[in-house]
Amino acid sequence: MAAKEKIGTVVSDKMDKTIVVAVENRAPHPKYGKIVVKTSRYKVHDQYNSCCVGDEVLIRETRPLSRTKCWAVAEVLRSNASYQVSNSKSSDRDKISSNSDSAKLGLNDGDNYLSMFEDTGRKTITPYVLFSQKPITIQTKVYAMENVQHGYVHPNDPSQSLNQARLLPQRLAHVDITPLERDYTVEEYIEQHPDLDVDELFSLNICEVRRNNHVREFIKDHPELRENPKFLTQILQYIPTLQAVRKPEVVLMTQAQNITNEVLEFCELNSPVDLEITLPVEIPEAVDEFLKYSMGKDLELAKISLDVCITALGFKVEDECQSVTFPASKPAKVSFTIIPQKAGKQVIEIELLKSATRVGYIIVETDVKD
Amino acid sequence: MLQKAKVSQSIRRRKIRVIFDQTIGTLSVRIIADNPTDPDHYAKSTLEGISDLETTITQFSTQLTSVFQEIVSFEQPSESKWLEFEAGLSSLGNNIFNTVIPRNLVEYIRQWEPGWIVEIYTNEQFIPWELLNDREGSVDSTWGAKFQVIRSPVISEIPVLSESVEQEQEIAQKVKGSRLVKKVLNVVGSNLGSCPNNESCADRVSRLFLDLVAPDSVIIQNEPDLSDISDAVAQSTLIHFTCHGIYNPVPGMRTTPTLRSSRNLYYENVRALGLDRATPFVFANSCGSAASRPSNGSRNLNLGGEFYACGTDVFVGTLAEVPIQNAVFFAEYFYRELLHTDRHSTVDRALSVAKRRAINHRTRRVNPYWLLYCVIGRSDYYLRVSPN
Repeated sequence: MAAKEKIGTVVSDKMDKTIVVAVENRAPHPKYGKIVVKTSRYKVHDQYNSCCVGDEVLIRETRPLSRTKCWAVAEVLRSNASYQVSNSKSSDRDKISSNSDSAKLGLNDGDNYLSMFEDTGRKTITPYVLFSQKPITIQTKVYAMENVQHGYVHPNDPSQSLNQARLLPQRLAHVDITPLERDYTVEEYIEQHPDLDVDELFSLNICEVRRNNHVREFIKDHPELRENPKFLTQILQYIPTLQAVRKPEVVLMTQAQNITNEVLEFCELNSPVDLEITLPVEIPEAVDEFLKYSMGKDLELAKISLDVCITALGFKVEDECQSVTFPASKPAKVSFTIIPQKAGKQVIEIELLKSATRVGYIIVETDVKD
Repeated sequence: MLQKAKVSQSIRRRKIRVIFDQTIGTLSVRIIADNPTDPDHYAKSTLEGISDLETTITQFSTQLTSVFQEIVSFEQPSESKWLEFEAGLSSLGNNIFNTVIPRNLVEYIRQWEPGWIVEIYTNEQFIPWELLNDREGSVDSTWGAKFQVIRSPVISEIPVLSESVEQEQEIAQKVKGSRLVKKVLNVVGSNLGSCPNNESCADRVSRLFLDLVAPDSVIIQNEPDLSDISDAVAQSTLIHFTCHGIYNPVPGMRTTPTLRSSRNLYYENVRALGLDRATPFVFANSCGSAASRPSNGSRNLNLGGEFYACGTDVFVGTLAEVPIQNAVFFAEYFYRELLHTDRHSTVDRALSVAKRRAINHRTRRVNPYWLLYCVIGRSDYYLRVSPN
């Protein structure tokens, strides 16, 4: 075994991508010679959350991964497969319940949460599109998209990002950096730690989140933020703008000849039609608040970029995907020319993609007459 | 600065749009990258003159299943035997890869790194995407091992339940909040045999959710008929089947539903279950539950596609035969991650973690059964467990 490897037992798997491994060291007492057992606990990186309590693991020293973590799991030597079902402990469940507040706030999901953001520079707020992924069936021009879900914070779910954004300033506002860094303000602390992983800060329990505090109160309680565009910008970089593309409209329109832009109830075989998708936007309250306070601080909304792809098997389509970039203040229009090839009831699927992730999904049904 | 550090560590994503047109014999493949500046973004190619693609893939799939079955039959294969299995799996996977991926896209795909999320948006259901291998010679390059693969069926190819606008609105109301695990239906099949420590696998499966969600929200059905399941299915957030899919899989992935007992769950009777749209998650932990099979001699369908068409957000199934003990353990790994109150793992991540645990398990060289698990539906789906 290499010098910087140790074998130990997992004693905690509560953190995301981090486990605590206890390693027993037996050594004779320097004075009395008695063999004494000392247990050292190491925070160990577990990239895939693949270890659970009771597993015997080989850990290997790595470069520092965080302030307290410089070990990673090299191999699971003995898996405690029955841990979770057979022996899952009520005490663990109790602990989890007691942590439910932090669970609701999604504190340990830093990687996935932040991966949603693009680096667009310090003075631009990156938009993120809020949309429902549930397929909604529409018949030609009738369309409604109402089931955007709210109410729960999950970093991986675009439809939940709004809540996440609302909570984030609260999280930043109430970082309690005692007892580790008592002399710093939040702002100074972040400035002095350019590589600070904010989410890790939370997961290490050196911070406290005070809930039920709204953006307005947050700004009110921290007048220094208004004076400090740098920090405000820094916060804003973490907040997706979340223009909600709420109710896209989809219509089939005549394409040529003497009739202009007539909305069609049905298509005719081999007659080209335009499938027109309108994407209106709105800026959520939380972001709006920040924008008000950022007046004069040279902040602006970034543009929204989406890929719009259609799947229309009964139609001939020249190019089934289009990239569209539009400002948050204006609705966008995307148009595809499709030529009906099969008669009867046909289905067109429209996907709205951001960074290869589907953020909107529309199904259009129409009749094609012979 | 913070952002840059985090983004560089984040998992990348690729979407592959696959449209198979059997009538003119074309397979159109387009890659969409998560960063528009990536060279493979919008890369597209179409294979032509491949009307018999389905037959070709089916032959490969049948051979693959045979290899898996042989692996399962060996308790402790020798090193040389193991190498033989590995070579067989990677070679067949590579053959399928070369058949369905146009040549000019191959180099792009080979650049994708392990751990990336690959979503396959497709209108066919016969290509075993998880078993594709982009580099012959190593099982590690099998997509199911290398990437987090999610299939997202094109609904236009699946006969969707017809609903009026009013019905849609009603459903939308039901769907709201459906992520909260309110009711779990745990369907336990028959003849599950024994698990380690002389424990009955049926008992073990029955306890699967009891320590993960509120016990009073779990309904356990032992060896039920489909009518029993239908009665209990309403308002279930999660349905888990153990050995209630294809009881006696015949060799080959495209098993024929010769056994039509009232206890077998086939795609034909998925709709008869009266599945509620508010049932977002189904895991059919049974042999070949996600393998496609011919329907009425025309098109291939699988259970996953049928559940998806009925409104299920995510279906997890297997592509071929999985030994029962392994299947039970895998479900435990999976749910431990998916229903963890703190982690809020998405389905793709939970599956990836379960696979990782299966790999780390000491029996890994005996059985790469975990390669056979696949997800059909939304990749970013997660469930929420009430702490109370």
